[in-house]
Amino acid sequence: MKSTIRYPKKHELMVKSIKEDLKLFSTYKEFLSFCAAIALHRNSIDDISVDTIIWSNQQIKIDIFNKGEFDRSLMDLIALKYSDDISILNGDRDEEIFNIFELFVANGLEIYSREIHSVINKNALSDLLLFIDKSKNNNEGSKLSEFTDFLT
Amino acid sequence: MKITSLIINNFGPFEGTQNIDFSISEKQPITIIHANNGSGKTTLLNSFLWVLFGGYHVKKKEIPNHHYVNSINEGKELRVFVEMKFSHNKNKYTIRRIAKFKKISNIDVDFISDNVSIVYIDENGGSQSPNNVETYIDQNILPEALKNFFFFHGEDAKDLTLPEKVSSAIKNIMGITLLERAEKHLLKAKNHFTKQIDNNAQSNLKEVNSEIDTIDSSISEKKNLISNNEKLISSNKSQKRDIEDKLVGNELTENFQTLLNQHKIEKETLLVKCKLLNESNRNLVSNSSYLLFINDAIKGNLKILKDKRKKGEIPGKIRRILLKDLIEIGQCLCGEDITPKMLKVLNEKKDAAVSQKFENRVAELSNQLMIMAERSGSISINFDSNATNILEHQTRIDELNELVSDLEAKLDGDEFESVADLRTRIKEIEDENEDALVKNTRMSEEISVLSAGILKDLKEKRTVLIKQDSKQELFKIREDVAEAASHYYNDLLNKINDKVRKELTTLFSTTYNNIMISDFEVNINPSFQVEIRKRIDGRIPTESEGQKRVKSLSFISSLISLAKGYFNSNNNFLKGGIFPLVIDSPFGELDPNYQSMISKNIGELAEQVILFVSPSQWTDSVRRELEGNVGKQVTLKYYTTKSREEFLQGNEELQLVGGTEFNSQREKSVII
Repeated sequence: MKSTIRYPKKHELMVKSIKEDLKLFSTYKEFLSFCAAIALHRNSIDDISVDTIIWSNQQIKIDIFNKGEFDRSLMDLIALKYSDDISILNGDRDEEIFNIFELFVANGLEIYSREIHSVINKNALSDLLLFIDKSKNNNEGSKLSEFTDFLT
Repeated sequence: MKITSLIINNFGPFEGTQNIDFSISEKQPITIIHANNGSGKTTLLNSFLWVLFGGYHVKKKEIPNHHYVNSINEGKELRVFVEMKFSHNKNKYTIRRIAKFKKISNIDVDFISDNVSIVYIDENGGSQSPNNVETYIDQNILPEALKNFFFFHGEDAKDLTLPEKVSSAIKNIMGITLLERAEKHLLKAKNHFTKQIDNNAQSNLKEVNSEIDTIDSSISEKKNLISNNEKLISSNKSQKRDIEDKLVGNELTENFQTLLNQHKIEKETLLVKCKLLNESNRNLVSNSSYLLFINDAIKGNLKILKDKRKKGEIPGKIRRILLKDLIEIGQCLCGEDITPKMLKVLNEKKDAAVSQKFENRVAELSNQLMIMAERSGSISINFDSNATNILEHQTRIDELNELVSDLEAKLDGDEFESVADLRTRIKEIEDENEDALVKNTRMSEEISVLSAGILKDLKEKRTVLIKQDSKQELFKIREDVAEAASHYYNDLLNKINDKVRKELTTLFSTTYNNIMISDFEVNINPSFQVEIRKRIDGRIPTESEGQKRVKSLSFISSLISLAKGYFNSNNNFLKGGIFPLVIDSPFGELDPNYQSMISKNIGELAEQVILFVSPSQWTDSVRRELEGNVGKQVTLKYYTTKSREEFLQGNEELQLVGGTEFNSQREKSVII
């Protein structure tokens, strides 16, 4: 039975930097969940196929997610939305749920890397906030588009 | 004096012999000399003064052109010269000043001497060569004391209306200095006769003379003190006006400063608020930020679950029990028996019904999704609220940044003095003036008392005693004549000064108001202070740099006009003269409005006007205003050593090189 959540090796440095250096997210789990939610929000999971991913050795125990208030629900939510099959919650298909989650994490990381991490305008936090604001408003411009240096 | 041409030879940056012709046309009296900074404008301006008066603005050894110096062997003599041709009072003059130097090292020279000569052709074609050139120029062409009124840099113009300058200009330009000298000479003569009387006097007369001397000295001392106090009062008044001008500016500055501080505080406060809001958003992002993106998905999932319920797929517990009961009873709810075919279907449906674990999980997920939806909404509202506040603050911060920037620009360069300090200084000046006035009144009274009382008595006694000695009477007559003549000249001087001052005021006022297109009351008061008031309310306006420049140029113009009037009238006392106006950077950093005003009128200020302008001052509006009055235009081009060979070959296609290729060696300029 699967006991960890993986993410692509190619984003190792970014994930470490976001968590350890920039301290944008309180835990690795938060960051990966955030990425999965982005991919879900964008409905964008075609970019990466799980079969082609080379996984990082750094993996997060599923137990960690189980301790979160909504983390497992997020996984279920994503899986249900993705599969459109309620029987996925049967109990014997959890591995499938985790795989779907990893797929969303991988796609979300791709988005993060492309749209936030590699495009540094002001600073990491303000860029992230701008991204969130813009994404929330379905890319119709951000309330925070005037963000400047004071956000450092 | 109308300058026809200037020849400069190895002078400063000008290598070899170069020539400039100037416009002498009456209709187009202006010559424009275009020059970039560093191409020799100042040297050229100073070469006019050097040829006439010999003074130079740098060390004499800096005069020779460095290329010329390089081309001479060490120990050999060098000569440089400037020659100016001009017409004056129907004569045609050529003045040439030659300076000799000795080369002492590769680039260094020692000054040996300079010599000036002047030759003129009179209206009958006769050639004359005055011996004492300096005196001749001072008395017949241009008094040296006036040189800075006619050859000057635009930035220095504002000082030309200071009282001592105005007084000196009036006296020198009208030849009044001769009368001053005569008055002093007569006073000297009177003192000589007084001394002779004293030398031949008996003891009692000596005693009276001594007493008179003592009182005279006392009166003289008091008069000096009064005069010094008057100067102090005059200077204080001028200083007070300056401070009052500054006060007006500083009151404004102080208001700006207060506003600036308020803006800065507001900005700082908003920045702190933004940081707090930002920190709040950071916390939102840091934990459960995914909730911001899953609202749609939650809605989608809840819909799926709702549909399943509608279809009866969930919850499945009741359905499973019902099916089980039906199978066990073998009878339908309507009472009919269940056929084997129906039983098979019922069994399949019973097996397909979900497990309890699944039921629980779906129920839990439904419950969680509801909570997540609520939390997601709450986080989203917080995030949006923070973002809106940050945006509002940022908009205000941007506004404040602009306001701060504007205010800082306004305050930039102002040496800020507090309004209170300035007011204190004004009060001190007023107190000092009041004190000086009180002292002067007291001393004047004392002088009156002494003169009308004891001094009068002593002088009468002296007259009686002198009359007793026939030898002394002759000295007394001479003494009286000299004294009366001196008084006469003094009165005359005062009257002439007064007359000239009033005439100058009229001309000055007309020119100033013409240029300013306004109605100011312009006055040169008896202390030679230039006063400008608004005619409408008599108030002294705060002058901008532009107004100061217009004031100076108007004054110089009126001086030139007055001198010309007297020159043509053959007045016996007031000789006047005709003078050109040579100005380096006449517009300086003035705003375009004043540049236009001055350009429009500068051709009228003198019979000949020579202007040095840099490309930045030669704006379209300046060119447009001047164009009709410009008779000649000359350009000073500046070449570095790199293009020297080409320059020497007379190549017209030389590249004009700016400061980037300046060498430490003196470069060269050329007139084209």
